[in-house]
Amino acid sequence: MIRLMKSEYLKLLYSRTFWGLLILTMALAVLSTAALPYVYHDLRDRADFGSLSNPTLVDSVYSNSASGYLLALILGVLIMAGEFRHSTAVSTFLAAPNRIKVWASKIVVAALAGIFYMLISTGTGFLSSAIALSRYSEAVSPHSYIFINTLVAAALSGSVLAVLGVAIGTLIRNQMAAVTGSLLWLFIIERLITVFLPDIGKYLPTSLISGMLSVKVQGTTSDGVNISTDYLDAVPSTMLLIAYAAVFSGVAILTTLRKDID
Amino acid sequence: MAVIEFRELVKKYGSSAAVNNLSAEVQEGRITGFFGPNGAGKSTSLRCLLGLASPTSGDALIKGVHYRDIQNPLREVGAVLDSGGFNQGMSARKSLRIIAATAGISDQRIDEVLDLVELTDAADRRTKGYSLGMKQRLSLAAALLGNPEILVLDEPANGLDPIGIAWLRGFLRDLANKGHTILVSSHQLAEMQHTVDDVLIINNGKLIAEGPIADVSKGRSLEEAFLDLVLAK
Repeated sequence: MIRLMKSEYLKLLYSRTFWGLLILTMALAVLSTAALPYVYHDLRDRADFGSLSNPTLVDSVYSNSASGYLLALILGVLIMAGEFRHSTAVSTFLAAPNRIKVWASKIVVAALAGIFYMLISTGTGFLSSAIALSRYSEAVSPHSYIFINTLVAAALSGSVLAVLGVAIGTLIRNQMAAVTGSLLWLFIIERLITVFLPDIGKYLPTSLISGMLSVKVQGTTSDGVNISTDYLDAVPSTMLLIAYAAVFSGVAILTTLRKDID
Repeated sequence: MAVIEFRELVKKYGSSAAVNNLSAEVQEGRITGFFGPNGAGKSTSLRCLLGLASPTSGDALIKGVHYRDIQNPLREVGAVLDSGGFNQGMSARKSLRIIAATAGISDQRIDEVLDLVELTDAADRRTKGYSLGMKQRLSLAAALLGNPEILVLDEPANGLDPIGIAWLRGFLRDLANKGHTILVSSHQLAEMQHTVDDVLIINNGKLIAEGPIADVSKGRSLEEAFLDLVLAK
């Protein structure tokens, strides 16, 4: 098992895609945090939640640093579906014919890589948040717990979503279809469900990750737009996210993992 | 002694049988050619043997056990199933390191097999720029990493130029002289006539001839014997 994990680790280390995705994750964290203080500053007279003098708003800027989880999911998909994309599945399963062991080693390495991605990108996001907030004199300090909350949520979401990605990559061997399907779900379908069916949306992965951060911004703009958030608490969010990964993994093991390798 | 055994192997895709009740043996220390027309079931049989495809019924065994039950398969069996099994963005050396890691094989052995297949000079280049012949050699290098006693090679001469084919012939003969058991499928019958000791010929998933090459050929060339056998069915 240790040898298989080393092999999976080398696949990532030698892959340009792995490093490219890490850079994208960091860029996403910067994009997600750098513009937010400007938005809050701009809304200060039009919304009832105050301005950057409200520590909860400043918290939400810092917590947005953990927004690279999508790329942890994509990494997980690539770790499995990439074997079929590059036709390396044959050499992988010839070297280690016990598919469950290979899969388990991929899960462990994906989870660790997901944590690595999220810690690096969240740290980058913290830095970006601090720089962006420094432009506004009214910005107060965040609550002290937000950093540890965000780092823990980032690490957990990175590991669980990377595992979920491996399961998706096992179920859908076509890498392009698996990546496109995941992006469509997270960026469009899940967002639409969250907006139009919030009672269902709060149980979906993106909302669960927000719930893990325990940052609740509530208020209404002068235009009457409600920007309140209604997420589950951190613990049930975490448990439900893990349950998603477990269910997808179970289905993948019971179905696709046993299929013939082409 | 039989090292590889196919026992009433059947592999169906839907209602179509790619391999139909195949029973055959490969003897220790010999090069056995596995021949048949396109779609005869050679690759499917080999994939069943190597645990990549599940037989519908029957068995394909190596030293009496299924491939998936071999403790350290890289050190027991080397296999070449296609020449595209490497991430083309990586160098040959990195690709081999990834495979070697699963069996705890050292970097020194990687250098040895690269030297053996004459790829040392290109070892640190991305395989994207490799010719088909170089990719075939890299596949052979991967198969040899664990210095296995048994080699299973599916069309290793595919796409090789005459120099590459001559190289492969000498390479396989040298391995057989060292006591390796080799099962090799190929369409290059004229070439294989000078390489193999025994032959298995299948058509439509069924075994139609098996034995030492002289017994199967009966004074004809291997190609003539193959055509007579296949067309007669």
